[in-house]
Amino acid sequence: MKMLVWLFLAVLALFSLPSFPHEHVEYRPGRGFRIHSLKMTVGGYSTFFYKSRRDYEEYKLEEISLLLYGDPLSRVRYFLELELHDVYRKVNGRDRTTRLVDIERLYVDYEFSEALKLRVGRFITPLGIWNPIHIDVLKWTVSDPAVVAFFFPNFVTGVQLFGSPTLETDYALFFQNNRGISERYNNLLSRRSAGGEIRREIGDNLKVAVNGGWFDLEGHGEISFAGANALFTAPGTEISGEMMYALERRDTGEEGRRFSYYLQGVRRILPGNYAILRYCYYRETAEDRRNRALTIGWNFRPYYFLSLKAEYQFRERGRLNTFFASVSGMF
Amino acid sequence: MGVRRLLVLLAVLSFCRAGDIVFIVSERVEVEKLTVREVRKIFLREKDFIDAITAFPINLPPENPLRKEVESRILGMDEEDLQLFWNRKYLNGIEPPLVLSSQEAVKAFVRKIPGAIGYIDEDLLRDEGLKVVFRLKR
Repeated sequence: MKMLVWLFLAVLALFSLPSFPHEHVEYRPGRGFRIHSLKMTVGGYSTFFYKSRRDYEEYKLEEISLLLYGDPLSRVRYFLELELHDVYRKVNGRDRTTRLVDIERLYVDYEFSEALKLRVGRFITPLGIWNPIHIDVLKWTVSDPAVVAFFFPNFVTGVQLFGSPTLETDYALFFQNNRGISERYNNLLSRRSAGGEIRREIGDNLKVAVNGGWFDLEGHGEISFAGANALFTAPGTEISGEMMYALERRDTGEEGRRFSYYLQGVRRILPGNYAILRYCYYRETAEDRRNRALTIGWNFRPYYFLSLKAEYQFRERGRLNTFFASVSGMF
Repeated sequence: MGVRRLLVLLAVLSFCRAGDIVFIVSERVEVEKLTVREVRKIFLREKDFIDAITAFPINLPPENPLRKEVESRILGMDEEDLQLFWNRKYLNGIEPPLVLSSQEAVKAFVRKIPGAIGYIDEDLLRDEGLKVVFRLKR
């Protein structure tokens, strides 16, 4: 309850910004408040989520996120994202509300040149297509493919070097050798990791990339991984695919392999209406698990800052077939 | 027949009057030419430097015909794709280009700020202190 009061006060403070007489403050729906004199933006986003299958039903106000970022100097940027999780959550009729706050992202960038930029703090692991756009309002579907869940930690607290050595080539390298900020909100607990990705543009519409890395599984073992991805875009159309392979070595001496890929097509069928089709495959040898899922979805964007999604996921075992829906918006 | 000739003449004259769209920087910037891909990346905030100076792209208002032409021919995105593109940038802390109300304002800003780059109708290019680094033929 105390958290909700703080959040209410924060939102109230945001909306009172335009009344500051000496500031030039501009608000645009979905783009937050831009305080020009401070070169700072304050905004955020929120998501309502629904999931249902034969013996499971969940709905929640999944997150309320506040963003604060700016570029106070020409080569310096900072970014803070605070997130209030599970503001209201019910699973099979039982209350599972937690209302925990975490620091989703907190970093500072310094740009030495086009080819060399430095990021320090907690940031999204710069691998693949899906992981960097993990926010619900940006995603085409509510559900995520397995390539972002089991192969590397979604967030890193450490150092990233990135840039564009040529006009068609981007790279990102990251390192961590410490405790993470907000470790509770990461898919895999790791305090040592290193990896990177190199991306190449081919023509105006196609980007291809390869990546790889390593991380420890805090007291359980370590995982080495490698992957590749491709993204084709044209007006109203997006086709993407990612594949990941990982070798897991447990401290007990056991070894396991994981492999996953997805292929996804998105097509605008009417203004603001997108149809999505995705096939996803996942294989894990240690537990002898295999999953295949076909997702058919619809994403409706009545305004650029609002996304309504509904999708049905056909799983290999029919009893796991799942319906997802969400409403997410930026403010 | 006379009316038809007059219409053809008017069409030719109006075609001649439409100058190219030129992308301008301050003459203090050492770059002489930019490629269409470089211009595209600068206006999508994917290229941060022009000749080691921080790039500062300037847009005209959304309804301006020059901006619409730049968006479709240079950026290669329609309005809806562009909004989704800027959603991603916004949620990663990157602002779209600054918007100025007129081509005169763009010229004044570009002349004053090294690294600033804007676009105007070629016919308005008379000032000293500005340099054309890319030309979009019309």
